[in-house]
Amino acid sequence: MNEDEALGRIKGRDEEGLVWLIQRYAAYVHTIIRNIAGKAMPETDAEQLSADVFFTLWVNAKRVAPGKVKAYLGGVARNKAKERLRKTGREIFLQDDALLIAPENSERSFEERDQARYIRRAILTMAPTQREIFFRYYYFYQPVGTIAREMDISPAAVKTQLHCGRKKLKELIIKGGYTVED
Amino acid sequence: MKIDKFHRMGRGKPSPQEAPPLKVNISDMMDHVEGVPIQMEEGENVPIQGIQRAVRAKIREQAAQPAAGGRLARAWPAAAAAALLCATAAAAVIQWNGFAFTQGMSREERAALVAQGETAVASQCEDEAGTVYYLDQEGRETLVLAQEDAADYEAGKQRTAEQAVADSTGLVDAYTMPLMPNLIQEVEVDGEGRFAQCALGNGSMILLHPQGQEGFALKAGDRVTLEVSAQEPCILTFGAFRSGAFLEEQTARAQRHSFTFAVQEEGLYCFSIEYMSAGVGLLTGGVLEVN
Repeated sequence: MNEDEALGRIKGRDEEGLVWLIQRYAAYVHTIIRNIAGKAMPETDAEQLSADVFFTLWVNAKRVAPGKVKAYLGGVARNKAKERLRKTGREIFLQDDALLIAPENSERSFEERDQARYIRRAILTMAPTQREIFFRYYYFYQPVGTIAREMDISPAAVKTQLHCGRKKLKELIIKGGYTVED
Repeated sequence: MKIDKFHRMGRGKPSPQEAPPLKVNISDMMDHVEGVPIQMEEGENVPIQGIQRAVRAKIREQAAQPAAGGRLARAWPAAAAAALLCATAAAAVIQWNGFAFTQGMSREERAALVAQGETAVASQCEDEAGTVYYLDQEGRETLVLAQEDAADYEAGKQRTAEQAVADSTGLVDAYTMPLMPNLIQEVEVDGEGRFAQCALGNGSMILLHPQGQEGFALKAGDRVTLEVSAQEPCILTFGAFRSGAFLEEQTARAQRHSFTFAVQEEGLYCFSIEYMSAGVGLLTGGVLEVN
């Protein structure tokens, strides 16, 4: 079986396709959840959350395009882990995460729609390596040291790329008529 | 259920002096981005069998309760909901979609148009579990989505909307702009350099080109001056395109706006004005001169 075939089987409500994808991606999903939730989450909760991720795939399989299963699972795992933390009143602390945005025009607010536009545009303008580092840090919450080790670059290079990525994002937001405070 | 951050702009807000800056986390902004697969070192001793058992138990549970339909509950098909979200108020002057020519309209008609534009906004809200409820202007639920489905739905809507905007003009490639506007309307400039007055919604853009032509044939050294008046204070962003590709932009905040562009290279140019403000804006007295 291959990934597309497994997805096709899930769409046809064949659980064998799901079993195959769990064997292939359970470690990936579990790792993302662990990265975000940290060691504080009991193992049984991490296991249950991983199961929720695959169940979500089962429910929404018709909306997942062939070749996108891994990205879909990664996104759902991330969102579920964040949601779980939010429900338990815990926050993930990331360095250099917050932007303070003051609208120059009092009639404007930095709506979710604006956030989506600016972040997508910023990511589009990033070179592939910078984009990957940005995703690892801000999307998957990987520590700088882990990113450096897994991408075989220095921690300083990771920090530089993150700084440049943030700068691009800020520039776009400023261009949109907002003031971004450090 | 909390209804807060999605509310329309400009309602009941404190003055700029009182308004504190908004704290936004980049990691939360990333919620709006489609995931990408990353090659990462995976943990060992992952309880694969346990995960399989738990998933199968959920599938059985779902099968035993077909009426529940899993976590996803749609009150309306997505297309119908999208149409409802775009629906406008009843007694309307025109079907407001973010742009209208207002030449020849009476003062009353223009006022009705502005009022309609201000009410043509639906809302959405989120409960503590992250479930997103989409509401029409009457506050009725039109679509209910679990958190991750809502994120996918929004991302899909955004992509579709951007594609529609890009496809709406053949004069320029909108994807070359730093930010895609919500709407692009091609507007002709007559032989005397004037263009029609119009009404614009937040994020709408007009694209100026000569009557019957795809752009202004300009040579190096030409200077283009663009002037327009807005009825209300707003932000206008003037842009220039050469051979369909975005070149530069300039932002102005006032009621009478102007933009001067020095042509560096011969080519076929179009010029744009993007409007930004919470309310509908009427642009009048538009003139484009080439010297």
